[in-house]
Amino acid sequence: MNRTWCERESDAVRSLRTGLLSPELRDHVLSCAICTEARLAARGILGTASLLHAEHEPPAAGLVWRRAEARRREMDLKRVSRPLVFMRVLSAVYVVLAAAWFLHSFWRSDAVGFLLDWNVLRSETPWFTAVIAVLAIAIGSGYLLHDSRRSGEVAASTSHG
Amino acid sequence: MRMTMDEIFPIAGPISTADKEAAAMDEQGFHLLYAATARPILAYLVGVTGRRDVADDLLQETYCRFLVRQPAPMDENETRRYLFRIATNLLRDRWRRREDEPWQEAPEDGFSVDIDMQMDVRAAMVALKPRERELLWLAYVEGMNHAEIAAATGLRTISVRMLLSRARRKAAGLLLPKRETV
Repeated sequence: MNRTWCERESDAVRSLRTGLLSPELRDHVLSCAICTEARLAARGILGTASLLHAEHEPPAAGLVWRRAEARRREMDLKRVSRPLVFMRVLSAVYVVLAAAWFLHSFWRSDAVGFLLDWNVLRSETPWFTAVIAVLAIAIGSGYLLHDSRRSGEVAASTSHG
Repeated sequence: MRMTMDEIFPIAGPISTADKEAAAMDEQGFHLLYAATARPILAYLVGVTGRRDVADDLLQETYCRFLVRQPAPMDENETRRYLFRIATNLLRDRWRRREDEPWQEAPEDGFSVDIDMQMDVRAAMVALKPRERELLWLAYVEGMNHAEIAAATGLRTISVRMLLSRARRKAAGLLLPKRETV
């Protein structure tokens, strides 16, 4: 069975970095195919690494710090606004359920015919008040949901900008 | 005032949320950490991706994630390993999205000590898969053992051993015809 690694491999590669190859390790490398391969591969990779290390200057630390700060603020904002978003979704669900219940009750009563009467607009019927209330809640919830989605998009675009 | 390395990298240990907030790295500490670690991580990212623009993005994202997560205080070596692990995860995310382009990094002429060797190595880097470049880099440049590479890459130790063996053989085969062995 072919060996896949040698316990002296790291020593053989380290000797490339330090330049210190003891006679004993040299003898081992000459007799070990894995260490020979490792030194050959490592020499190429280490050469590339030293070139890249010397050539490439990392971006300014301040730039990275500011980007991380913006990311942190965005995450804090999301965490803080999470209960608010939950309440908005809950209120939208409530409106839908209330509207369904209202329509169901409305349809089962004889109020349809009653509404067809012009006098309903002038009367202070609780039905009419309820319709206005449900409409107001629906519009308000719709606006709040739209607003929360828009503010989320703005926060995301600001932090990535 | 210069900070000592112990101040930048406090000793690791159990840490509460309050302690974590108190230990959150300030800008000066970050600048020192960045100065000590950014260059090798950038070289690693350029070496694996072969693209400076991609490596720059990944480097910034690596430090952003590090700062946002605010991990428990750790020593210098652990911090360095941790940063390499984040960078490696980002590389893996790129490969999952199939965003890896061919290796195209060309060293500048001013640094060309041995043109023949550079050409061989460049051809080898192009021929190697990103995962192979990554494993060879972590093993031979960063000096990580199999367990540390497994922790950084999310692979099992036995898989690292096998994959590294194949990568080593492939790289040696690509460099062997023109280079002396020892």
